[in-house]
Amino acid sequence: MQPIHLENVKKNYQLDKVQVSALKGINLTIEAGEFTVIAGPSGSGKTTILNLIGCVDTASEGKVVVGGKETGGLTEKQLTDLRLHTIGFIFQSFNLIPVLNVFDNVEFPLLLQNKLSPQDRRDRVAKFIDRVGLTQYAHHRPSELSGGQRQRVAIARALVTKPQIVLADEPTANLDSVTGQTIIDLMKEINAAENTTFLFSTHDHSIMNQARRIVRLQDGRIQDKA
Amino acid sequence: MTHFMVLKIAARNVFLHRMRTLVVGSILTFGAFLAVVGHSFVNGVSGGMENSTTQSITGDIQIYSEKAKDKLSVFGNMDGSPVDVGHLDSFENVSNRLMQNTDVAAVVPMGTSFATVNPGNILDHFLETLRKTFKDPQADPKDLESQKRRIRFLVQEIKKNLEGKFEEIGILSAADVEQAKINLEQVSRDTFWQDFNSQFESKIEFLANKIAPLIFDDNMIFFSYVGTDPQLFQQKFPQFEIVKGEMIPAGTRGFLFHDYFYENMVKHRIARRLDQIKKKMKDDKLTIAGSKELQDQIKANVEQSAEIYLQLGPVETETVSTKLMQLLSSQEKDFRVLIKNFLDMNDQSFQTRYEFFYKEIAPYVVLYRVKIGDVLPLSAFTKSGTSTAVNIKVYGTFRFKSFENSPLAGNFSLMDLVSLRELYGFMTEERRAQNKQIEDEMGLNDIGQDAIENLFSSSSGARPEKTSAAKKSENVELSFKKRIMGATYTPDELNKGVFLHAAVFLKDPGRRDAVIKDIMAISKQEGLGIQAVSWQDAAGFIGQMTFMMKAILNIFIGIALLLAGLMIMNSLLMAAMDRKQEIGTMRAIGAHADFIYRLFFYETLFISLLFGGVGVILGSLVVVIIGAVGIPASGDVATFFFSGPRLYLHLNPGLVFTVIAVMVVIAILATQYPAWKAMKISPLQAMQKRE
Ligand SMILES: Nc1ncnc2c1ncn2[C@@H]1O[C@H](COP(=O)(O)OP(=O)(O)O)[C@@H](O)[C@H]1O
Ligand SMILES: [Mg+2]
Repeated sequence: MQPIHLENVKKNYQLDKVQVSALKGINLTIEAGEFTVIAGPSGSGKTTILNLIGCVDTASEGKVVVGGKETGGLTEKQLTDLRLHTIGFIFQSFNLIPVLNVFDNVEFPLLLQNKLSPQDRRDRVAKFIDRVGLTQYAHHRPSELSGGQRQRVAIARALVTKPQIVLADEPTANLDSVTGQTIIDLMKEINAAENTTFLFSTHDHSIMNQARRIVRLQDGRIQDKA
Repeated sequence: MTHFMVLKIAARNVFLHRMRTLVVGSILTFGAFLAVVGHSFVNGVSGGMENSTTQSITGDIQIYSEKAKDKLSVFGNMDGSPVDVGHLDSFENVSNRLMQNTDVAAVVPMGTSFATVNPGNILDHFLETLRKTFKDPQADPKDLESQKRRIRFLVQEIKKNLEGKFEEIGILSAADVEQAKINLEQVSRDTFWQDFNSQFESKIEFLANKIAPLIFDDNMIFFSYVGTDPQLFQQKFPQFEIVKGEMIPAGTRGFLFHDYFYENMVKHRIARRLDQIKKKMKDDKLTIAGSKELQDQIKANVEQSAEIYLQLGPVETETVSTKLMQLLSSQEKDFRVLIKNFLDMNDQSFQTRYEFFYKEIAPYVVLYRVKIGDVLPLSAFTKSGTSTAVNIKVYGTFRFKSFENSPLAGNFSLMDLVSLRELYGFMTEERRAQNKQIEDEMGLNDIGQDAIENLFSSSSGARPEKTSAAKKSENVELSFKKRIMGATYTPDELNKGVFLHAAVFLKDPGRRDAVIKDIMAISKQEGLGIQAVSWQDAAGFIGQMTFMMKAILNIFIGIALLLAGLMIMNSLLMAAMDRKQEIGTMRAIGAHADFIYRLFFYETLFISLLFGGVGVILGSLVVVIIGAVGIPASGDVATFFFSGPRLYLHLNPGLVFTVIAVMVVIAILATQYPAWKAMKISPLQAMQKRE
């Protein structure tokens, strides 16, 4: 079963009186364990695609299947649960909760899931913080960390629930190229080790080229499939 | 599981926005503080007012005629005018019927109204003593002479005082002034006094009629009284106790002053002020040097020093003068100046002079304008507006334990219901005619004070002789009639007669409203003609006052809390807008909408409970600490509201819980709109680029 499957997906935005077609019929299937990049210039629809897959937005037309569930028929509550249990998010601007320290930030989705015992939960959080190399910063607030460190916290947070899919919208856009590279390396490494499905967007060519599969987006349409 | 995290985030946010938290928090603290302290205060006041009202006059419920013109207000109207509540015909009927109700513990018949007594001024008083001494065969001639000297001295003082001041006083017409001057001149001459003993009746009469009125001293005592069955009253108002004198004997007509009134209104003004100063110095630790109030009282005493020197005869003046000169180590010869200097006390001299006053001066002055055992000529206006007078013996004073100093509980003096009926105009024309007839038959057509006094003081003494002298056929009827107007009455006369209203005591005061309904229903069904009201309603404006106080306080608290609530709401709304991305992120990660709601709710709850809690604790501390010491009443108004010289506060756990509950309600209310707004924040907000 493919974790992500889009069929003729269209997305229109109403901007004042003008209708903007952000996606004009997307067909895309991503297999489990793939490390895929969505590439395209600014305004090509990368974010829109990721939002639909991430169940934070709904398609105007077509079928979006995530984790085996067709999202079109789901309620707001069900969509939230789908996000919680199936998807890990890495945001462009890290989006950590400022009043919580690193440990609490990483623990946050586990608390929402409420599936693990407190002990298991703490072990899991510690393991992932260690995985991103921030053990010694576990009790620091996000404001005390560098951009790269913050994004690594975000990666730990996205992965800590062991989601089927990790989505990242331009995760390196706010980082310098060296730091960006280490983040990509970390993602790749986890992808290899955990067989998590990674889907991320970028318009940075040097990063694009490191993906096993590139989906090129232009003006709301997929150009070719690699 | 998530609760802890939500709390953590909420708490951290509270600390992150310290300024806003502090502002909102201090309003909440203030509101909670005000609620606890204010309500404890108002509860203290209203509890004191309730107890001092219900346990001194109203009972739990009052009943009165359903046909009453005015609403029952036992304390009269706000302007002091009495109310017309009609009357009910037979106490026995009403009482018997009410006692069938298992909730009712007792019914006490009453009538409340106003009366005045004019005990006469100091000259009247001296003349009366002199008259008695003349009539007393065992009297010491030396005493007689001393008394005469005293009166002569007093007359001279009056003359001296009025010299050149008649015009100033301006009460008398020019002709009267001339006559008064002539009269004063006449009684100052030796000739007037030379043949005094042989013509004492006419001389005393002259002094009493022509000279005594020249003391322009308003000596009238105006008071409220309750007419009741004194024995029943004593039994059913358990706080009742006799202070001075004795209880009115059963079946006897008589009068009791409330001790508070007696001490404050009947006692010699200078003595009363000294008592008050002493009490204030002891209880409230006031000093004369530091208290304007005490200074004013000292000043008043100095100004009214005449009330002492006018009451002393020449011999006493001499005695006191010598002792005063010693005490004050003064060479001053003028007694008036000496007294003035004596009364001008300070913190150092007060105690010794206070003792000196009671030891050396008080025995010679009229310490109480009405003495226990006196027969009072009470005057009152009847319902119909005519004036009536009743002579009635003062048996003593009473008070209500634990409300000794409550002006509210001390409002009423007490007399028997039979006298009240007469004073209030319920002596029927028929009975009046009967009385007249008895007077004639018994040769009592001149009911002088002495005759009345005999009737009262020896109710079984002189009369049987006169009764036996009457014709046998009239014997029974006559003795019955005499009882009506005499000093005694039968239980039947008391119970079968008219009353104005009655106090109803309940076994469980909590059932008050239910019993009021019951009584109203029974009255309607059986045509009893009564209506029942709560003690608050019966207390009139006094009863409304506690309600008003609570209402005003709650308005203030309400405003403070509403303000706090609005500010909380506003700041939460701003927070929701500021934290769109954070909230969006949480939602994207998988937080449900109710998680966001809780986040906001806990934040408000945290602020409300923390700061509300601080306010409650501060307020409780203040109540416990100040409440135990008591808030001293400054002035008569405060004494009235405090039901005594100090107000003690009690911390009511229910109040604390209520305040905390109100805090939670505010948290809930203030959270609704902002939380709803926050819940609507889309997870898409998380994807927006941050500036
Ligand atoms: N909320 C929106 N309202 C209106 N137009 C939008 C909105 N979001 C995106 N668009 C439009 O949709 C197109 C695709 O945008 P986007 O998915 O953000 O592209 P990318 O992420 O590749 O830069 C653009 O033309 C953009 O202007
Ligand atoms: Mg984009």
